[in-house]
Amino acid sequence: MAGVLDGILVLDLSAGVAGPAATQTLGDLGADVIKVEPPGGDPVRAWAGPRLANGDSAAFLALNRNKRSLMLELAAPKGRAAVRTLAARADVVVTDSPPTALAEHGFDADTLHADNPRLIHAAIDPTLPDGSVGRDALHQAASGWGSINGLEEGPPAKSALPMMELTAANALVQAVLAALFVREDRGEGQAVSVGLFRNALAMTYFYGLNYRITGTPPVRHGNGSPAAAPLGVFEAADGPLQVTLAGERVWRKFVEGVANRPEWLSDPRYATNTDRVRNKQALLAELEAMFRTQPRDHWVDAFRAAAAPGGPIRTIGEAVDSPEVRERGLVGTAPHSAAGEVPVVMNPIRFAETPVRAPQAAPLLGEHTAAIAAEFGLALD
Amino acid sequence: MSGPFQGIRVADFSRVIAGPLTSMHLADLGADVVKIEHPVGGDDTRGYTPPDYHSLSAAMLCYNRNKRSIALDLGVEEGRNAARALIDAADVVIENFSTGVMAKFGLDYESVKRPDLIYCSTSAYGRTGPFAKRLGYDPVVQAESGFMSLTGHRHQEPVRTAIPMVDVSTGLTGGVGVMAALFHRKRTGQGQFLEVPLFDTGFAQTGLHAVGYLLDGTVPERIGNGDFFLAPVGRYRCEDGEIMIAVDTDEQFAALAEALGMPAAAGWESNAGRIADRATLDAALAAALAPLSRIEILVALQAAGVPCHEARGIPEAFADRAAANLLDTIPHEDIGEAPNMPSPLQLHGTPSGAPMAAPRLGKHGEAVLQQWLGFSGEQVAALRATGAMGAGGQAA
Repeated sequence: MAGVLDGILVLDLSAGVAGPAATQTLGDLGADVIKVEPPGGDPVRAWAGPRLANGDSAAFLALNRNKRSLMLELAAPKGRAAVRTLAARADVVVTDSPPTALAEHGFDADTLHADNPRLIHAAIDPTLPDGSVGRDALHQAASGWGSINGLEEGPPAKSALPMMELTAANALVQAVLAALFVREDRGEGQAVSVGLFRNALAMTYFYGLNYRITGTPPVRHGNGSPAAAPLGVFEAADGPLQVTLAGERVWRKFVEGVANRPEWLSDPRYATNTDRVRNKQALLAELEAMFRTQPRDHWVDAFRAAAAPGGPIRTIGEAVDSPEVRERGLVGTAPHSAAGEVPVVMNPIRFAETPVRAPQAAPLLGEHTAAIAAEFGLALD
Repeated sequence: MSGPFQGIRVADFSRVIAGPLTSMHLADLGADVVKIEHPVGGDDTRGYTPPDYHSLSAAMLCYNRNKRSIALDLGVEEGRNAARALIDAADVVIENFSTGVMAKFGLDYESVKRPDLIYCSTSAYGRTGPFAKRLGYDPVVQAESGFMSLTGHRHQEPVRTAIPMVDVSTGLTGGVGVMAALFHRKRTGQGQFLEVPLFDTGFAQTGLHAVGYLLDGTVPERIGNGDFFLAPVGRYRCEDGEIMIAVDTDEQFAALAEALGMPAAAGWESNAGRIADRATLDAALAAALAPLSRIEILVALQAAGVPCHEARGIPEAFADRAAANLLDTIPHEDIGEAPNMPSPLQLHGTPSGAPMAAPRLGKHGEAVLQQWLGFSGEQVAALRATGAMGAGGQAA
């Protein structure tokens, strides 16, 4: 079966996380993605952590499946001319440089549209409020988003996953798809963009809006909540559990089906959520003592049987090896030009008619330079 | 509304966050999204008060901009019939009930399908298979997917993100799925069923680390405000506040050390060396920054080309002019206006029309029945008389 974006050519001038995550999704949907890299390659190839024998990092593999790599020296006129040639044929160009740098290279929307009115120019804008440029961590810091995570009594903890960039990637893909949709009628492309700072502000959602409504600065609640109890992390005999009992219905399920302590239902200290919040200290102490008496699997089975919200806090290894990941086929392998088969994490969208493409692992640096040069008539040397 | 999806009708049965975020992005881009809610209380997020803005909760306002609301009791035959008629008049259906609920109402894909219908099911662990009946809760999925294990400080418990990022990621991914399906339908006329499960999406966010574990068994340890792949990255206390520094390259590190007059130890010239010696490097950097003011640090480091920014709480962040310009208020039909959080994406060639804040429960029942189904005033009154349709515009 065909992919949604079969026949759509995407020219990817981005590096790092947000742009490559977006073009990876476009590739999953069937687009032909040409990843332009400088002679040193996308810096993510060299990031620390697990890697292939050829040096490419796991992080690079995770962000660049279903793409071809074209090595170009953009500081040289020939390199920039090659980009212009490709952009004249492309349906979508994805960038992640600040607007001034795009204009300097002639890769801004106005310049590229002059050659190709059907082009969709999709920009991740990394500009910070003070005009400097930064990636995920700095947008967490600048927007306040990074200040609301963390334990109540401790310092903030930013999201370790680059969620400001990963969410921006999804937003950019949406913008591209909407622009492709409307291009069918208009015949013309357009400029679309996602500002990393704009996105990070948006991601503060109800924390941000509550502050705007009340004027009361938000505080960190860690794994708990000021409004409901019991919520949080509990240690079973052999590992941590996440428990989220907000409301009467799930509290009753928990007491009857998991804790097996029916007397708690008639205990005035725990009668309503308000009472449980008021007597949280006593309640949490009882729960801590109880959870320690059995292994984690015992509690997890009980939570599931009772349809009460609680589950194991898994490490990455435990998650990858979990029955859910295995049964649902969320990891697999993909052919790689230097390393045989390499692991991939699957795209989560399940289309009945237009399944996401079977993955091809991330390309070697410049792997497809000659083929792309021949295909598009690029003069590279 | 104008915008790319003008004229696309979305029958939105979803509640809480993931599904409503999917449909809000469609609404932001011009689709006519009708939110079908239970007449008593409606979407759970309506009750996420206090605080409230004229009895609208922040969560309601965040995830329901540009939608209309009809209150239908799906437990009543007339309510189900009206819902079915709305689906038959819609281009897109979105739902995120527990598995089996839409089937119980006779509104699941198999019951309502037609060749050009797009039907997006946001499930917890898939609509089929051994986990289909399990309920989906963001904090539990954060825990089970490995997502939560990464965030928090070393030697302390893991911490979930305060904003439910598995719900949010799933909502955004659902938007990608529906918009892809709309593009496919535009080109081929063919609709389809699609599914975006919470667990699968939460797990997919961990790909940077899941792939590494699959390569060599590495299980990352929590790293506070640092970064797994680059050093130094961190949030540092200085004389009058906190500063975030995020070094990307060896050149930037050399410039950082020089700008701060910080003696660099052997091995720190490479990222791998800095990662291996992260604790010492972090302490040296913290000591160098502690006596300086934020403005001194920003001036020195930005001149040296080192990526850095003030680490702000929400009040300070929102007071910045760049933020204040984006944090607007938008019109609300009943209460004049309401504070708004910006949409992250912009289409500069086909901007959408003036936005409208989240609706009161059931506000648009009559108008939707007239416009989508051609109901007369008598038919609307007859439906209302059955008790299947709630009154419009209740203050909740």
